Amino acid sequence: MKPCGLGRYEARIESLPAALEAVLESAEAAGLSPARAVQLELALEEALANVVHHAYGDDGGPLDLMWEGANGVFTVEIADDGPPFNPLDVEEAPVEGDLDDLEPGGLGIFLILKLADEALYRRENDRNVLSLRFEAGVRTP
Amino acid sequence: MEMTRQDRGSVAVLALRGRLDTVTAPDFDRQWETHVSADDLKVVLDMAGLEYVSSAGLRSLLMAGKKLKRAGGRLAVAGLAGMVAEVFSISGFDKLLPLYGETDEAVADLES
Repeated sequence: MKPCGLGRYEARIESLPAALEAVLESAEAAGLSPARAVQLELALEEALANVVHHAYGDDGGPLDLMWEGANGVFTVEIADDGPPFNPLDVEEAPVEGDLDDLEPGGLGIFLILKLADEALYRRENDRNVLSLRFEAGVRTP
Repeated sequence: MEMTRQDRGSVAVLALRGRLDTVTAPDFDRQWETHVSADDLKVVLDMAGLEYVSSAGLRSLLMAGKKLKRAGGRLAVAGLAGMVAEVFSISGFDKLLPLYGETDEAVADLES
């Protein structure tokens, strides 16, 4: 198993398990510990769910992944063809206060920012690209 | 995601197994509707068998907790471990819902 790869998936919820499994196999091969790999898995699931829910209308579209591990660093890029949208501009915070007052809002971006060592957005060739970087050591959020 | 129910006095203990994520959160919602009736006001979620949770799962837990509270009930959580405990801590859910190490403690507290 090489610690790198790429894959094209339909931006649908049903694609998530296969996409996550492909990247996680490489992450293991790249030497990420199980504890760090699950942090990668969570951040990546949140990023993929974001594309699935927001990038396209009813017709859907592609979700492209490119990943690579080298020298104790694992990077994964998530690309879609949706309208320009930087998910990192969305402000999210931990839940606080009383159950009654809380609305079910987003925590996905917040989790990505807590778990990845670096998260960068760019618009490239009319695509949204989110790049997430994970160093092998477990991050204490 | 599997949910099984066991009654302990007036408390319904729901044991979760597997993953509570984007794919399986709708399973949680459906099974909650199946297992929890309007008469159930004390519910403990036993998460010792839960391997993984993501924001979609937290959202389902929040909705379940709100629903129960609106009906005058209480939701407690027991047996958090590993990444599930970590996600509760990062997201603030550890302060939102009462947490217990063991299901027995949660049941005793809700019964009292």
